[in-house]
Amino acid sequence: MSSTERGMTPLGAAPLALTCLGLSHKTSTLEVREALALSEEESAEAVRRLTAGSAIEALVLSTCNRTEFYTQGAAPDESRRLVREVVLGIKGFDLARLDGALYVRSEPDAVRHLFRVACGLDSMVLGEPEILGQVHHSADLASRAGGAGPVVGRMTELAFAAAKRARTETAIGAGAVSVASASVELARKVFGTLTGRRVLIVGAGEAAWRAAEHVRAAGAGEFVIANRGDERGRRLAEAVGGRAVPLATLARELAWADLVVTATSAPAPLVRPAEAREAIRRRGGRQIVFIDLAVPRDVDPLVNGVPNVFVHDLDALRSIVEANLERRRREVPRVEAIVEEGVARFLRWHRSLAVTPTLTQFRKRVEAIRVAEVERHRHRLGEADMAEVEALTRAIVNKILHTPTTRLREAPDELLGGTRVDALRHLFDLDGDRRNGGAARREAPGPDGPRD
Amino acid sequence: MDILIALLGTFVPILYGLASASYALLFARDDAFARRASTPLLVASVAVHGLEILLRGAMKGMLPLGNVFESASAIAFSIGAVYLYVEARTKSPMTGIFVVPVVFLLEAVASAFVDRAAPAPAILRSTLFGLHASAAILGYCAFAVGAIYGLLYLALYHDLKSRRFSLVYDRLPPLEVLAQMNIRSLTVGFAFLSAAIVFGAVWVTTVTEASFLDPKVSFTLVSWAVFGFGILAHFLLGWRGPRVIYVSVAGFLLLVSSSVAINLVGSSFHVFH
Repeated sequence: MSSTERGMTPLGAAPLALTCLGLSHKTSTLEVREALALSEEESAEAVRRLTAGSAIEALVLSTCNRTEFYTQGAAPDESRRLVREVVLGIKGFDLARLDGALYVRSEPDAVRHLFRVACGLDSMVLGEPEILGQVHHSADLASRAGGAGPVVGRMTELAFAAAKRARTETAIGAGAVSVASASVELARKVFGTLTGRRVLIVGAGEAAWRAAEHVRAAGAGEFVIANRGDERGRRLAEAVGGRAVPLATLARELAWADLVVTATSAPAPLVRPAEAREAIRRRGGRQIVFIDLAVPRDVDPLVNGVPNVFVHDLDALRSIVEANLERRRREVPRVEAIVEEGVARFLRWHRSLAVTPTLTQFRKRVEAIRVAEVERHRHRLGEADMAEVEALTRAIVNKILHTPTTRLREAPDELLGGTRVDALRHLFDLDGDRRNGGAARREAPGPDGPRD
Repeated sequence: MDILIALLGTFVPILYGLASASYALLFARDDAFARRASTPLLVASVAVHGLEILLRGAMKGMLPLGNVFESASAIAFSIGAVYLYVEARTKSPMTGIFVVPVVFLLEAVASAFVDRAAPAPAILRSTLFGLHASAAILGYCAFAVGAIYGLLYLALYHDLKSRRFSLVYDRLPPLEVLAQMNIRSLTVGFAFLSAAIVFGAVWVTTVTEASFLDPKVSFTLVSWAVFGFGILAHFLLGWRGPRVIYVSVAGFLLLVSSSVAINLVGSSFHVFH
């Protein structure tokens, strides 16, 4: 009689029963994503409702670019029905309205999806790092709301590990991918660090604000804001902790600055080669980096010809962004390989859940035989001999059990329909134990259960 | 002992070759394995090389700088060690590809041609010679490192100027780090070369066949003046950027080309083989 016939699930064929249902920036409009975005409280409530329903475990990931529901323990159709009911209850939104926008991933595909999301492969900006923090946050939330059991716990843990590997072993997160961060990257390529560097911002419009904030976040020390309109310049100077000066003093301030960011709407260049040359002379030859964000340009292109002056305009910055994105795209196959390794690791772990009770029982059976045999001969042996025999028999048993235990844990036995476990149970009469009240129950180990 | 030294001498270039390949892979593809393997491979190469030099010195009972190949080997070792220090300081292994193959080539040539068993000329068994040769080796090493970082500076400077964001832009350390490496190497090299010249000048009075009019001495003094000018221009005249780099690279090229030419022609008392 096979284990399946006995009503037991064969080794490895234990269903994962994991489903992911969601939508993202790739499948839906911003309006739909806004309608389905869940606050922290709503996410926790969704986890509670899902696990109060037919799901055993649940995880909800809601960011501005995606809302996804992971359920464990419910079949895909049941999971879909349950999620629809929960979303309708919390957001008053019927998912039936979103036929094309919703995706459903089951079993390993659901695990693979979460891993890809955590690694930034499914992000709007490829490889962006914020998503990992958001997955972390969702896992915490699921844990606090009682939705994270062994499967969700292990899945998120391995998703973090895969994402960490992707970021350290590949260039999926390397390089600046916005114009503002590319400006900082360029300045760093010249100066090394921006800490303590002097920054001159010319203009006080939106682009100037954004650049000033980025540069300040990168550690720049002192700021001067040169602007035609005094008031706006003063406001920006206050915001970044610098001083405001009139645009007329620009030529004088150039000699003071290491990094000059220009973003005005002036119709003609504000900085010409003669001024740049004079600034370099007054600063003893030390380099100046110009980041020209203006159209038309604020810095005459000929300024780039002055020794130790580097001028980069919007085109140059965009080419850096595009080159970095291209570099990230080239890394995708390597990250996909890391994801696949992670998924395989998760599935191995999940299979080992099924084999653990059998192995425990197997060890107990053999240990019982050992103890019984030793006891049978106790009367013929002294105390000292007994200790020796104990150690000897224990060592023999451990050595004999080691290989079958390891093989059963690592083997993809579902390919053989669980025949190896069946054979083990039959050969050692482990189900005889069960009939006699032994411990052959399928027990779900906790999150600290077996590791592959 | 002889067999051990010969074995190590064969093994060292192979190790440097492997390290060079690893650094090349790292630079070209930012390969994960190369990222883990490059530095340990170079550390192993430099350590085994140091042991080989020590054993060679112990066997001869003097500094193993008796001929041009032994000197080349010592320079290779010094450059490798200095590079490891620079890598630890800058925390970037990406410039290894520009340094380690130089070490590999130097050591491969030195190892192929050096006659380890040849007795050193008695003239070289003096403390003054030891000081002179050691200072010269360290000076050469510093100038070589300075020239390499100077050339890297020029490559990155050109990329930044031409807005061509190639592998050079991606992988090299910042421009100011490269400039600092160059000027520091130049200053250290200048100090060692000055010391080598002073020790050499004292030593030469004890050696009958030597003369101040030796071509090697003349060219070295010209190189020394070029390096000195570069340092003065940087610290006193405020020269920054490519100008100082050009001076340091020119000085190094003069130093190396004169050494090679003189050793090939063999008309100097500095040729010991």
